[in-house]
Amino acid sequence: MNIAVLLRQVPDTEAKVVPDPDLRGRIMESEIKFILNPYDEYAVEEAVRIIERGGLAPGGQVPGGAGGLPLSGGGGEAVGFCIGPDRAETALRSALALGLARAVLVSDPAAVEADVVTQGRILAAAIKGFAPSLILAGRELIDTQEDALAAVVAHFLDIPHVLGAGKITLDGEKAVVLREVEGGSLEIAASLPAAVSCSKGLNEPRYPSLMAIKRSKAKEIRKVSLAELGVQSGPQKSRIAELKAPPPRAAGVRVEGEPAVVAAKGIEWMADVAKVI
Amino acid sequence: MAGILVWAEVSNGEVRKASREAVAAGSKLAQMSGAPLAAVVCGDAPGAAETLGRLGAAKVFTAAGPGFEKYSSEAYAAAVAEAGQRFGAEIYLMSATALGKDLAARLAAKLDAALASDVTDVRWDSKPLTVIRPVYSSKLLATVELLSEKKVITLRPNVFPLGPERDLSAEIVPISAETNIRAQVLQALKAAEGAIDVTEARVIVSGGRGVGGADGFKVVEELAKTLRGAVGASRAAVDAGWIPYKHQVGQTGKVVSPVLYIACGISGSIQHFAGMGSSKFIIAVNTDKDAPIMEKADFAIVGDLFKVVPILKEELLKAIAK
Amino acid sequence: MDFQFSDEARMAIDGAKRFAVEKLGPGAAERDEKAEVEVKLLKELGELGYLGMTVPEEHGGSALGAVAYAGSVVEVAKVDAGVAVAMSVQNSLVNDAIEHFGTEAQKGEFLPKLASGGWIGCFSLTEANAGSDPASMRTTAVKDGDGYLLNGTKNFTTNGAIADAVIVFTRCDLGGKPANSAFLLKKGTPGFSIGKHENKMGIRSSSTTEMVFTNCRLPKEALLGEEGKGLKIALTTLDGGRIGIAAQAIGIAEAALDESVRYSKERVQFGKPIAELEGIQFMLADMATEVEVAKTMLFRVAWMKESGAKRYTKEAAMLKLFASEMSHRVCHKAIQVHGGYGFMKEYKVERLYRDQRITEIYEGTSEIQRFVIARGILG
Repeated sequence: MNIAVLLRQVPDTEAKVVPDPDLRGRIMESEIKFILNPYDEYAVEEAVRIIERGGLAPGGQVPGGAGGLPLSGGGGEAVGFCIGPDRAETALRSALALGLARAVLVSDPAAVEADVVTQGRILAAAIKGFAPSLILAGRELIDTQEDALAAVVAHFLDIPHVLGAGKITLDGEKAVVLREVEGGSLEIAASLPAAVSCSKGLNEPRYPSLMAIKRSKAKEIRKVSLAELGVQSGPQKSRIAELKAPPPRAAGVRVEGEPAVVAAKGIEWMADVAKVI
Repeated sequence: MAGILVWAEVSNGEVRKASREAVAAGSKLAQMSGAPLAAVVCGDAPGAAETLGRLGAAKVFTAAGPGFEKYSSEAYAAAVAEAGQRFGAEIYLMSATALGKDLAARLAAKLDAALASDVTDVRWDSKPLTVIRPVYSSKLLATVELLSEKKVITLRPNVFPLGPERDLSAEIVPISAETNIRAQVLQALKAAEGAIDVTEARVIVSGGRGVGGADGFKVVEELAKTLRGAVGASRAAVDAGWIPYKHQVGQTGKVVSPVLYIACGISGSIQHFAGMGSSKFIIAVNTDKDAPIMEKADFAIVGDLFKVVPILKEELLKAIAK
Repeated sequence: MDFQFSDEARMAIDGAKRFAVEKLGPGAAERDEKAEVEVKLLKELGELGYLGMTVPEEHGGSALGAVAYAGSVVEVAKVDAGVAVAMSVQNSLVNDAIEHFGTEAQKGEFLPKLASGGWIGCFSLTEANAGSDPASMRTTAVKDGDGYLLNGTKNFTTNGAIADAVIVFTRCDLGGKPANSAFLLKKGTPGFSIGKHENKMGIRSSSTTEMVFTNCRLPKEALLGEEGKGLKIALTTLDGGRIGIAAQAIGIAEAALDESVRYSKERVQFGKPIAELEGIQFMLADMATEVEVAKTMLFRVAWMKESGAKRYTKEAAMLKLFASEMSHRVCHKAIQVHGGYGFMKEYKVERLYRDQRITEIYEGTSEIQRFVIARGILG
């Protein structure tokens, strides 16, 4: 039973992001450190734990079919799938050090620059031949702040999805997922194969050991092109016309002194300016 | 003229506030472009169609019966797509709630549409339709042109104003859609009685490292209760185990847009700001006058939260009593 | 020339950084305040392989090399310099000494446990009257039948209270001539006990103790290296140790720089952040330059050790001398940038300033380093 994990390389959360003055919709990359999307670590950890437990019991899997990659390596692997430029290999290497068996990278610029729906379609094509029973992804990509990818891939593979899992329980037939919604949570049973995106709290991602880092060097990162996958990126669906820093918040009021005095000023401000009282 | 279709999320038989904001936004778009506005409701919600009509929807498509009692991305996406096809919709709007974003993702794939999620502003008279959404941990804003014929947009809750309700009524159109439900909601678990979710609250009182421990959250909770707000927390407080993860605001927590955000003992990291930077007003209480949050706050109180916050609560009770 | 880290080195250093920030960061100030040694955290680092970075794989190490090791110590020192010194002692003094001078039996018994963090090790050289001059040590090892009888007290031993494996240096009598020998023993050996726990100015999250030997009988198999070659073992091993201490000093300096950059952007005086004042900018520029120079030197000397091409005694001494004194200057300026707040315990630079001080003293004072360098250039 195979598990596909959707991966992405993103700028470090701490990175200073500055729009590129010459490339519309892009950021200046020269000074930026890129990392594995933080949420993807929950997905990788969950996948690796499932494999370490002995994999999934027999159940549904994505039918292989024609057009996909002849990837299926037999019993029980967790493999990463990523769209990104060549530099994304370092993020994949990190995921391999965390325990994935190998990774597939689609690095055609047409794929890298595509919108989330197109990328989901491309990833679905890449994953198909791998015939996974479960597809895991991070809850959100912290660069584009999109959380749709797992659902889009699920649509194109014609399988169900659940987003934002805080807990996943598997039996051979289904995944029971607990996800938060406003005011509570939902328990959702998805028949396998299914795509599930992973939230913080699902698990505690491990630190890669140095031994695992060394082992990851021998693991395969396979680059595939859109042509090999037999898919096209299609017409552009959206375009970033401008990227800019949000307007700075206007300078605020600052008070210091006796707690009673500053609190009274605070109340006055809440009533007069914020109008919440 | 291609239409605008809003998915109205129903909770306890009522159209959610966030969805009413989305209908108001749809109504504004309709006015600017001359396009007709419709809404679609899934599940049994007798009063919903009427509400949506008063908010400006000319038609309300309703999908009820088996398969629609509980949320299902597959069945709901099929119903919204069916309504959209009947209505000739090009623009699909919904609120960026947990389920709104879930549905939008599946729907956009199904329609091969342009998807823009968690949008914070719309260029109402733009062509092609252009929206603004935060990216890179909210460090930047992207102006996105939606080029595809079909567009699916989710709007961040608490950002778009509610529209007026007028004496209008909508034509109700029952629809059916194929429901092949493979992801089934087994049960909905409600949060504790009286607890307000941070993503829905008008006011959030949050605690961070400065709160010092689980006990320290009492003063934060009491102020939140007095303001009828929700309790939030920074990652530091959650990671320390002082408060459950569901309260976490920020990069790895929830994105919130309350009218007022009160940060108690929170230094204000980039990651925290990514989650609450779009709050309308920010109050910070911190002993460290140089903490980053003090620069971003509209009202910064330099002081010990354990002294200031209880007085705030007492004074508020007095102010409310007046 | 290639100034790129290998993929593995980069990932190892990133991993150390993450562990440091997430696991060591939250309690670092408290451990300093209370002088608490958290062996658990050290062992977690060990489980990940960070306590056996230069040990060969056949002995359970990760064998990532000195460059990855130096970079990892920097990251740990940025957050908790006490944990960094424990890490440095284990990797570059204990493991390296056993690796280079131990018998196959000693390697087989000790290295897998040390490299995986199962055991913590210490390197007990200094005595009350033998600091910079190890030849004058008083702890003795006297032949006793088939083995040795050890007597004496060592002091200032890093990791002393938490060590499972002890390397101890003694005086010995080699055919009538005084010499030194090294021994490798385990915690719990009769006649060996821990003496005074030191209350230190800095690196307070590390253990520093006396080691007391009272008629401590060791079999001949406990001898590390040849009898009488103790001084050579100590000095050779300290060459590598100096890379670790330099890395620690650089980590402390880099943290002081980071804190100063952040503070200067936040602190407003005369209506603008102090980072906009030239007086502050010049200090920050000097600090950043010094850190950069030391780091470049660190990775060069680490690379020399890793490539095994030649001896690097002089270079290691230069590195340790420059890095530790540089760290002093940078921490000094960091407090200056922070003004009165830098003098207060609430601000991290106060701890960094105290932690930095020892790097100019242990594993060879600055004066000893200059002596070694002079000897190296004068021949």
